Amino acid sequence: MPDAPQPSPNGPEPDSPSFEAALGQIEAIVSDLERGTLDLDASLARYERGVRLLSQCRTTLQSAERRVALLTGATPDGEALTAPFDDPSAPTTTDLEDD
Amino acid sequence: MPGPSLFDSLPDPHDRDEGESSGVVGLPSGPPMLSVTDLTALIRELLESTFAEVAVCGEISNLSRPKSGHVYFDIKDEGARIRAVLWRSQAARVPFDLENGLAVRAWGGVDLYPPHGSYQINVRTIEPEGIGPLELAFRQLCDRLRLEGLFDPARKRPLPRFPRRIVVVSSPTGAAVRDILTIIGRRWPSAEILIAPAKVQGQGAAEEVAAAIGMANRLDRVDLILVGRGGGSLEDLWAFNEEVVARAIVASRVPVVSGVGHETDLTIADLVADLRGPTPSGAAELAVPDARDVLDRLDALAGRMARALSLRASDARSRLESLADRADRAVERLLDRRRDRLAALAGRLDALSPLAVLSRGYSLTQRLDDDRVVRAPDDARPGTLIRTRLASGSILSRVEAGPTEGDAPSDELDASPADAKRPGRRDRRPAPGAAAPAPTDRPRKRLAPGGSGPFRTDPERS
Repeated sequence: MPDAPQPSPNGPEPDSPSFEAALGQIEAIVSDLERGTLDLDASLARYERGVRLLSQCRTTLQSAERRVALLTGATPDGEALTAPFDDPSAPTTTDLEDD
Repeated sequence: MPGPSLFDSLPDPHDRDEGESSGVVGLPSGPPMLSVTDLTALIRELLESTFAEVAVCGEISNLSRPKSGHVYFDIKDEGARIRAVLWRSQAARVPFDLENGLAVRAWGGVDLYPPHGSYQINVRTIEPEGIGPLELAFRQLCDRLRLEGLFDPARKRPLPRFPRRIVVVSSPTGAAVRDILTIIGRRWPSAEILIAPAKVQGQGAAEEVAAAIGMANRLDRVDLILVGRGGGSLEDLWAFNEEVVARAIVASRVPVVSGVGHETDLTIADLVADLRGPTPSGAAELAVPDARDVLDRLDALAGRMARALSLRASDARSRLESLADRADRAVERLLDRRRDRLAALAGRLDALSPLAVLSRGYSLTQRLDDDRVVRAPDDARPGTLIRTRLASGSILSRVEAGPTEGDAPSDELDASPADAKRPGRRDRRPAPGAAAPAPTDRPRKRLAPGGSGPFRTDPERS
């Protein structure tokens, strides 16, 4: 769609922007819709994109997977070398015992 | 040069040059003749045993730091000065910077250096006077870094709002790591956490912390670095006051949040970090948002978006409806106009219809056999069957031989309106001469009003 005012931070993969970019796009979509100047087709397209981004953001937030590792080094091309980390806080974080 | 007082107890108080020359001359009952080396060895032994452990206070001057790493200076007061040396290994353990004018207390032993014939105090420990060494070191580094502008708020970078990958620089077994993991796990569990292990106190801790910060910077896609350790004494936290850590934080291209000790512990690392957390836990709280707040915000945005769209859709619907209304009205108006015109035409047509003439009392007579309109007596010879059309029906008659022509009692014909319609059309069927001829210029006999005339009439429904 020729949505001129919509910035696309990651050109090649516009469907998986960072959380921050996604949130920014949602905000832009909401204000576009609230301004009410788009035609109905464009409004619908914008809305559908907004719904997709919202669900993507919610999925990110609600992912329960815990990712903690011990950093042991860095490869020359910037990849992390890691070892498993025996997370001392892991058993208690599911509850609120630490509060 | 060293003051002479130290030599007061020696047998010959003169300087070495004089001693050397007097040795050449020789005296009958004088002291034994010694070589310079021997004499110096005697002096050295005496000096170094007598002054093996001294403590001296004074002010530093003539400070020099050659590349060797050893530090040379004088310690002086109003009356005297003494050379002092701080060997490289000791110098590395002095946290603060020695500088000219600094009042110090030094502990060490007196050394004599025979090739120069000079003595000096070999400093093993040195402290500033009136202030703790670490406190002084802190102040000095603060002053220097502040002068460089490294505490400038404008230099500090904003933190990413939603960090995805966080490197925690701390001791992997420390309480700080546990606290940080707990808080990030609760508030922002989607973040990936890499723990860059570093000793956080003791010898070499600062270098390890700096190295871990450097390693985090060699990784891709790191959004944030958290540096910290739990509470402890000033000495325990000291690594975070060292310049190497401060420089590593300043050089980091990834924003750094510090969380060192307790809220009251302010370290240099805190001052140069992009954001200071009061504790490791506090740093973790500042570093990540609370996912619940963000979800609430997403819900609010979703609501606004849905409302905006439904508003937009109902706008479109009402616009559509109003367009439909306008279209309806336009079509109606068009139809009305057509209808009016049709009515007008119908009226005109009606007015032209021969039947309209009949309704005013005229009649039309046709021969029954060929429908020919009877216009003259000859058209209807006696015996002819004729039909007379009236407004409300017709009459069938047979023509009979009548009385003399010309005295038909047809006064009524004269009363026909002058505007009796011209011959016209009726229902599209050609009816030439169907209309009544103008009564003034035509014979009237056969066009008598219905019911009159000398005809035998047979009423007939039409």
